[in-house]
Amino acid sequence: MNTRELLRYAILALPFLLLAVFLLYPVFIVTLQGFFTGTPFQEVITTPTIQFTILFTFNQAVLSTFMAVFIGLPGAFLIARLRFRGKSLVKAMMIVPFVLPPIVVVVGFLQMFGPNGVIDSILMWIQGSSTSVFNLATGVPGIILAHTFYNVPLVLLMVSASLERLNPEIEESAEILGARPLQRLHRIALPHIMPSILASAVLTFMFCFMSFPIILAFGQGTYMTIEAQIWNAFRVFDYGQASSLTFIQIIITLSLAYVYIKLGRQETNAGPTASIKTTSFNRYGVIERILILGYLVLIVILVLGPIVTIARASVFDPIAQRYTLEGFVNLFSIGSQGGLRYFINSLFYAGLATIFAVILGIPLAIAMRSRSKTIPTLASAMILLPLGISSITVAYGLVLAVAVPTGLVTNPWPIIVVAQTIIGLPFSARAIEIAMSKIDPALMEQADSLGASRIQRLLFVELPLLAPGILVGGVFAFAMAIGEMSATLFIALPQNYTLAVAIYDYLAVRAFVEAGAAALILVVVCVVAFLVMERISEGSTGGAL
Amino acid sequence: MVDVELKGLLREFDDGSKIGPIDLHVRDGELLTLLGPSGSGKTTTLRMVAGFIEDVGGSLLFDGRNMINVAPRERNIGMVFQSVALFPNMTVFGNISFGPDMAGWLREKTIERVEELADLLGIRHLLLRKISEVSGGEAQRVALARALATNPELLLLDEPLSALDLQLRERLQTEIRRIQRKLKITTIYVTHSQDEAFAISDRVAILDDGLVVQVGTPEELYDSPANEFVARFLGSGNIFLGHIAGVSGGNITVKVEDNLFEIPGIGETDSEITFSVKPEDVLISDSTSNDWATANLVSITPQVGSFKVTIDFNGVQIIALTYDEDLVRRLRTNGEKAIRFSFKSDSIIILRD
Repeated sequence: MNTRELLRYAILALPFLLLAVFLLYPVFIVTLQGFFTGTPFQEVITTPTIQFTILFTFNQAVLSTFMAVFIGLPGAFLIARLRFRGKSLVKAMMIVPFVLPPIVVVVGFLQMFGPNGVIDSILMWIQGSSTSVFNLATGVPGIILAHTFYNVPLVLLMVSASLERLNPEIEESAEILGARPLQRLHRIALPHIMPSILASAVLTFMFCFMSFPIILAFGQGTYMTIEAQIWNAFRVFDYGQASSLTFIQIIITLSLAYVYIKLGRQETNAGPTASIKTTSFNRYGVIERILILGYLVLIVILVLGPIVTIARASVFDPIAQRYTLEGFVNLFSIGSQGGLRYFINSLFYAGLATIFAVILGIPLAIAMRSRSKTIPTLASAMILLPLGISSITVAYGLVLAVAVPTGLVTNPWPIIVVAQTIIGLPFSARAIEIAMSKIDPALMEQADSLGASRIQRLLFVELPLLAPGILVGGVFAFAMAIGEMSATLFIALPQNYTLAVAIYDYLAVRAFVEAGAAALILVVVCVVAFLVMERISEGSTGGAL
Repeated sequence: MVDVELKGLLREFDDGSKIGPIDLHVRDGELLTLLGPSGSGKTTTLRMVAGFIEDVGGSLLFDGRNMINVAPRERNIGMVFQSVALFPNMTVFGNISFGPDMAGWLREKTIERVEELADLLGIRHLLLRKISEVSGGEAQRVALARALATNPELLLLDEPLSALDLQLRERLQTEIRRIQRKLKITTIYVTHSQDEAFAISDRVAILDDGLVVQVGTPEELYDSPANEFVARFLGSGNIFLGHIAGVSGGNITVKVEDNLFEIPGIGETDSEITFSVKPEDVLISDSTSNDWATANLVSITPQVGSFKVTIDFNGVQIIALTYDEDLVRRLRTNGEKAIRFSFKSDSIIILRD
């Protein structure tokens, strides 16, 4: 093995090494700790409140998943089968809720479904009431609705993509062989999309299972997920309980991640497809049209509503019942009470995390495309691992295994950057890997045959070709990092608060306009990020999921 | 089985293009092929017959019954698609029995029918396999069996063999032909390959730009193409465009570029004319003892059983076929570029338009 090859392996090994130090080792330490310190494991799992929490975590995830699939499925069929203008834009926009920080969703939900929110205001006006009459943004309904909002687009995207891969001639074959529309749905379309329904359901279940900001905001201390309870236990220094719960959670989420990956490989390839058969709206019957329109209204209220009404949340003070710009003024004021440092913190941490996520993402993507048998599997596992390890687990591990021994607990900002890097890395690596897979290998050979050295080839051919992919990956990682709240809240001291954490803080002290203003800024950042990705990748952003 | 008549069948598209009006008569029990280049409307025509295309004008008669507003599943049609389109979530058996299942056949009758078809197509050993476990050629047989399962009156085949390699394609052509003959099922076959069309069909309809330009047996089409498009598409001739320079008796003199050809026929002086001569009807010779025209030799390409000789006659390229190995050997060795040629006098076809 010569020096050049050694260097190559060293570069490939770097992300693995860092992930081992900053992810595997901490998670190992904290899960192990549950068995040796603090409240013993047996005692934790026999405590009635903990049992309630575990049961609730399951039940709310099941219910949310059911709702998301139930509402998402008709939309998937509409996206795949209905011909309408701006379809590609609608499809592309489905990614927006996914990059939207959960805490921003909380603000949007409060504004749409909460007391003095948009729906409440309309109802109050109709009934002539001066007090709030409607509130869905609290307790179990709030949790389920917000989770549904989050995951309907996921189901829609994954299932409609699968439907579009169904060769229309297969359905026509069934039709000409005598199958009626319902028989075709039952015997042809459903079996075809079943893997994608299951995959989206498993993913949805996982996200809901590990839900944190939405639970904190709407659960009001009564309804907790395991994730939220880990944080609670940590705050009261019950490391035994926190670690035991982490252990339980990680077993479940890693199993789910494994199932998800297995399902992803199951999709049958139906061969070359003719163009997808779509039907325009006025081809449908009256009842069908009413159903379609009703569905659209539902989606607009449930998915678009909370995003749009964040604008109102940023200027409407529900306590004083007036419109004001104080939220923005306070947010941009300097000084110890001012909000500007949240903004600066957000940009600084997310910026650094993005740089690291891209730097580590490139070798990981290269490793995924390596010709060896084990390296790609290992790289994929490394990339998907953060998917099955919750943000709170990552943060808890980093604090206990890295921050405490190194004394970083007094000013833990590097730990926040590390956590955000780990959370953004799967997205950057995946986007870069997709870009790599699209490069024609003949181009590389062409460069070789023209006498380019390895370095020349990398600098002048590969990187310029990869630049859009790297940019998309970077933007995606940035969106995930700047919206990250769970891990950041867990690690941060007040001087480290980011905008996302500040929103939670503002909500807790009922400073609603400040929360709204901060949320609007994050929405704008995420929408801009989405537009940039969309522009660069020409509509293939969804593939990064 | 069924007698199919397309009368002014027409589909207009939003962009202003259209397929049709198509007039075509497919006789009971015959295999008729729709042949044409891509975009000529073959598949659209077939899909109109199947009922997959909405807003179709004209009429489609099955034994005199108009089928335009009848749903595809009620037309009693079997169809094999270009992409084969087998149901990937079912076994071979499940695919073939799908039609009978939908029609509510009794289980025993279904099994009997599936086994009968499996024997007919030689796929009995595949019945329990998954679709992902059968090869391309086998998949075609399964698709054909599936299409035939409920004893349809009409069989539609949309380029069913286009994805297969040449050898397999030829074998399956023969097989489709054999089964079609045996079942005497009226069949419409779509292909863009002239060889395939000629090998398999009773009659061929040539489509160009959404219209049927000529219908006939392969021999009729090859021997007397109706127009320049057909002649060019079938590759059956050297095509010459010129105008009539003189008329004498039963002959006309046609001026092509600066050359005069005397051919049998009638016409008016100075009118435009197109005629074709099949390569096998171009006679070539290296002898100077006749009154044939002189041209330059361009190339000689060996083919199965013959040689394709390209000659240049004052800028007009002419292709000739010859079986004369001695002549070819002499042409190759003596380095002489001059060659004499003539047309068999009764072989010239004057084309319309």
